[in-house]
Amino acid sequence: MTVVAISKFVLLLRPTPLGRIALCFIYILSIVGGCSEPKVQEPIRSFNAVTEPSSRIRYPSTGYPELLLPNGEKRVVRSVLNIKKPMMFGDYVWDEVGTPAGLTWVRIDLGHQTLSVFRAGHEIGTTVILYGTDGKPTPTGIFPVLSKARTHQSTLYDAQMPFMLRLTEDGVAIHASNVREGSATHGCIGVPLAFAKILYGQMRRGDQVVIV
Amino acid sequence: MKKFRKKQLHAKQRPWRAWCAFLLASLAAAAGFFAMTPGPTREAIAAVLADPLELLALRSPGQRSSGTLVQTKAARGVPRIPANRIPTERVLSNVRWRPFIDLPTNFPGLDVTVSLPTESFFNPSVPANGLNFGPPSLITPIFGPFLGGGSGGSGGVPVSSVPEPSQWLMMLVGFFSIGSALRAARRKGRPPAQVR
Repeated sequence: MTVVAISKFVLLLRPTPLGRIALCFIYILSIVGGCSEPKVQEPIRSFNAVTEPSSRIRYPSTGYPELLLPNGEKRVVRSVLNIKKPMMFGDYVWDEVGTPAGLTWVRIDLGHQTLSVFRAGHEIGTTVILYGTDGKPTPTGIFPVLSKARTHQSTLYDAQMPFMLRLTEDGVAIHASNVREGSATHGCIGVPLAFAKILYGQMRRGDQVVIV
Repeated sequence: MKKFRKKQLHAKQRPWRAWCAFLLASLAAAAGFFAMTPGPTREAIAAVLADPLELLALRSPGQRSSGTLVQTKAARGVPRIPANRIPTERVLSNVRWRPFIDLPTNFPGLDVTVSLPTESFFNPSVPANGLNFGPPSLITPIFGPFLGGGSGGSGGVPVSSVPEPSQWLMMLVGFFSIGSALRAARRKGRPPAQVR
C-alpha cells in the first residue's frame, strides 16, 4: 500500500508521459521485488454471527449423541458448530444465537488442542488452546471453576493472566494467553484474549471444565 | 416466409430446453452415483456426522507431539539471562599486553615523514630536551600516487565491475529521469540547460 500511496503522490506532481512510464516500471519492479505487503490469511473469528443454516450441525431429536466424561458420566450433544476445517492458533468461534440457557460446561481436548463450550447441549464456542509442557503437564479430569479474576498477576510466573478461571488449588487455570504455535504453558490452559473475555462472562463458579 | 421466421424463433428458444434437460440428466447421474456408492462409505460419512468427537477433531490444528520444543513463561523474579553475567573469555585474559615494538624510522616503499625534533635530528650535536635518542613521537604516513609493490595490499575500496541490482535500478531510474527532463524541456521549446 505504501508503494501505491507514494506513486499516487508522485502522480499529483504531473510527470511527463515518459515519467509515468518510468513510475509504472518502478512500481512493477517493487511488486516483483516483494515490496508490497504479503497477504495475510484472515483467521476465523466470529462473535454472535448471524446464524446461518450451515453454521451449526444439529442432531436429530430422535437420537442425540453423547460425550463420555472421564468419570463415566454422559453428556448429551444437541448441536455442534459447523467448522469442518482446521482452525489456526489464535482462532476462535463463538456463536450462541438461538441456543437456550442451561448447563454450561467446557470440554478441553489436550490431544487435539481444542476447547469447546457447551450450553444446554449446544456447542456455543470453540478455540485452539495452549496447554502444559511435557515437564509440567496439564492435569486431566473434571474440575469445577474455583474462582474467577478479571485481572490476575501470576504468583509463579512473570506474566499477566487476564480473565482467569481457576481450576485447581495449585494454580492451574484457564486464562488469556498469546496463543500461537510453538508456545506452551506450565499446566494452564491458554486461550485467545477475546475468547477468554467471552468465556469469563459465560462461566460461573462451580461450572465444570472437563479436560481429556 | 412468416411461417419460416416463426419456426426460426422457436428454434432459438430451444437451447433453454436443452439446458433444462442437461440439468435433469446431471441430477439423475448424481443420484445414481450416490445410489451406486458402496454401503461402507455412506456409513462412514453418516458415522462422522453422528459422532460429535469426529466433528470436533476436524477443527483441530493437529497434535503436539511429545518432546516438541516450546517456549513458556519465565518464572517470576528470575530473569532468563542473569543481568550480572559478564561474558568471559577462556582463551584470552582480560589484561591485554603487547610486546613493545621498535618503530622503524624508515619504511621501504612508503613516503613516511617521521616528526622528530628537527634540531636534534639534523644536528645531533645539539642536545634538545634529551629527545635525541628517544622513540619517534608521531608518525604521519603520506601515501604517494603509487604504493609500494612489496606491501601487497591495495588501499582503495574494492569496486566490482558488475553493478548490483540496486545500482542497475538506480541507473535506470536516473536515465529515465534525465530522458524525461530532456523531453519536457524540448517540448516547452527551450534548449536543455547548458554549461556556459
